[in-house]
Amino acid sequence: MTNQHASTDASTDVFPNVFQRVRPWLFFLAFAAILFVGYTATNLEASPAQSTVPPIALKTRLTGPIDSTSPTEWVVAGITVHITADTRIDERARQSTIPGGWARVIGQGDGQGGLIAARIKILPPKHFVGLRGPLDELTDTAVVVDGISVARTVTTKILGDPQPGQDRVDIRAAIQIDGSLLALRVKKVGPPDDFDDGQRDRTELKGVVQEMTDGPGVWTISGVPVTVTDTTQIKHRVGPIMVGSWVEVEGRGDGQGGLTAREIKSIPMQRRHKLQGPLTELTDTTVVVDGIPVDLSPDVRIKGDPQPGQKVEVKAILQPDGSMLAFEVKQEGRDDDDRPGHEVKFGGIIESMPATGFDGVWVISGREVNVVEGLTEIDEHKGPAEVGARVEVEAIREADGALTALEIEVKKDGDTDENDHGRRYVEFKGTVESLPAGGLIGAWVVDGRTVEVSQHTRIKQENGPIVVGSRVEVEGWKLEDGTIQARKIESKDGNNDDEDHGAKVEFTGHIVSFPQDLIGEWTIDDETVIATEATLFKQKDGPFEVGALVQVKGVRQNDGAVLAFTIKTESGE
Amino acid sequence: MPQRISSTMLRAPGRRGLLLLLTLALLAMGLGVGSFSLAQASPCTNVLTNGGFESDAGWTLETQGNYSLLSDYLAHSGLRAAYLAGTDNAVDSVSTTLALPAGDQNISLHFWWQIFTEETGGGYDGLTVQVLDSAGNPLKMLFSVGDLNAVDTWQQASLDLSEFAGQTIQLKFQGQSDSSLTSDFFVDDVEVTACDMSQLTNRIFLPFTSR
Repeated sequence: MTNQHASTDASTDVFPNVFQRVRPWLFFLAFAAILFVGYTATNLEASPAQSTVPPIALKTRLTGPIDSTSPTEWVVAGITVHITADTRIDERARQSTIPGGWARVIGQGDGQGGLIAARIKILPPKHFVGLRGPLDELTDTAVVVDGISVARTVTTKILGDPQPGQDRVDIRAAIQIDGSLLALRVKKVGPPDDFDDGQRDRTELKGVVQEMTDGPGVWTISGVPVTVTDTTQIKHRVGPIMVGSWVEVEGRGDGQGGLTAREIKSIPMQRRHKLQGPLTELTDTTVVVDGIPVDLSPDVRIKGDPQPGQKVEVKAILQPDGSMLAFEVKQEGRDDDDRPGHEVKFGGIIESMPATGFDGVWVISGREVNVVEGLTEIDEHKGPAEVGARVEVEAIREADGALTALEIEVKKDGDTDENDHGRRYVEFKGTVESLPAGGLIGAWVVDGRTVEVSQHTRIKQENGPIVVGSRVEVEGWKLEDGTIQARKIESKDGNNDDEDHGAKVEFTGHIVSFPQDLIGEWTIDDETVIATEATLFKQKDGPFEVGALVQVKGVRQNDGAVLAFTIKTESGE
Repeated sequence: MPQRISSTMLRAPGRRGLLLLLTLALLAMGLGVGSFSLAQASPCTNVLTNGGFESDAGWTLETQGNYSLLSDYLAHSGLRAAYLAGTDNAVDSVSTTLALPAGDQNISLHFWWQIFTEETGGGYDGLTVQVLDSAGNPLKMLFSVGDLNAVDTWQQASLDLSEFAGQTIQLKFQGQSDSSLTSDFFVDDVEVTACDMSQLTNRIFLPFTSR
């Protein structure tokens, strides 16, 4: 207490001396200098866009266990991860217990084998370490991705022939005893393209093909020259693309009033032609979007206050000369979802998934989402992730606009028993209790329901031939009397406990006898084979004739006969 | 007496009567007389046979599946319609070859269509109408709708084929679907009408018969 008083007294002694020795205007200058430095520093911090430091690219992704953390540096799966002021860290990381946790780091290589993190998210433990990014080098002993080296051995699977300097790869790796990474699988995930810089919005054009080339060249779509290159993806979604087709072009302005296409896909006919992209210029007579000029109608409606650089949507009609005439220019709302690196959350129905496994592109209510094994969490607590399932998706927007799923949570099993599909459309799974005599056309009984099958019914037997006892999925229209008029019947996988298809057989033999119209009883060697309307006949190696060698695939019935799934001729060599 | 009445009737209206008569005559032409005359010598003909798909006569049916493309599930009229896709990865088509008349022709394609779909996102499955040359080379896409256009009623489409007058073309209806969630495309009552415009221009009451 005494000391504090003494100190205070001392300072009051010193300051009067200073004031006495230094002129007041020097104090004023010093004060102004401090203010200037402080103001400049504040502005630099508040306006990163004006900083000379480039933003962190989102080109490399690392998923692995967290070895250590500090305010400026983490180590994940043995790889140094730099934390900057711009690094966004999952909120859970600050709250939850990091030891034992895994992290997904998205950022760019530091050129020294580490990563500069743009985003970090904490994950539950995974089985493998994941690394995805541009392939720098691929040797017999190493795979280098964005400067990060991972060991390779003869057991490492290389999928898709990835080329260094051209392709991006997805690596599944294991941590070795010494802490280094060993690549188990290196998979090409698609070449980088000119659109991967994430610096500009993409431009989209919905219009009609007026001129087109067979291969790469310049097309004319609603009056806009569209350059199609070797890498342009052409998707014949709703039909083939030809002159007159409505298409959606995704690309960017070529600086000469046209568009360089990254993707062109056919779409249903539209009422209006549309051009979306960053506004270059808006005058009284013209709107220029990403360098593409469009005439303005005298009655054009300008919605919002579109400014150069902002995204706009232009709606137009075609003029007699085939060019567009805009009748509406609308400022698009700032959509954070479109910005690379931002998280996107949405719900929907799984419409398609890769044929095997989860790894690949899913379509969820019309939106394509990349699922990456080891990166995407699939939460199936509430039901299996399958086509038809309702899910919630948390994804990250890539620089090229694609979505990479971070989490997909199944909300509800989509296997509905009945639904209203225009007319009384129903679908259900059941066991075949009876079939018509001599074939599949006629009345079936499936789980007690009468199912009318005609020659128009699509019968799929890819999972095994349909016999009494088969498990099937039926789709069709329910009639007033309760009968189901089947549109599609599909045999389901025979691995369920309640299924008893009989033994599948496959053999080759010579035709002893066969019915003239192929449907009915065949004798092949000493086997009796029953062919139905659903049997697939292939005569590529010669016609069916007595003595011909044929291969039969089918199922043996209780009476010993084989119900044929396919019968095809063999060359006999 | 009758003569008197008649005489009065003729005399009384004067100019008004003439105006009335003229109006009645014009109305009659507009309501029926004109169209009756047109029907008697219609310059329009349907150059497509079996547009109702009651059989496969005149049509080339192409499918990668093992099913019929002519269906009795849904028909706009008659018993059958073309039933395209309805299964995954389908590319089904029905096409016909037409020799379109030359000259000053107004040629139109009319047909009815309906779509059922399991898709929810849209733009994955589609029904298109294509014009090909006689060798099968694409000339023009006339029509395209997708699963987003699925409605529970028949819709009619009318499209102009006049630019192909004098040519032999293939008219192709194609339904295609992607690898999951199928769409069913139905097409029925296809007509291709060719109207000789040179005949129509000689008729003075055209404005009244255009309804």
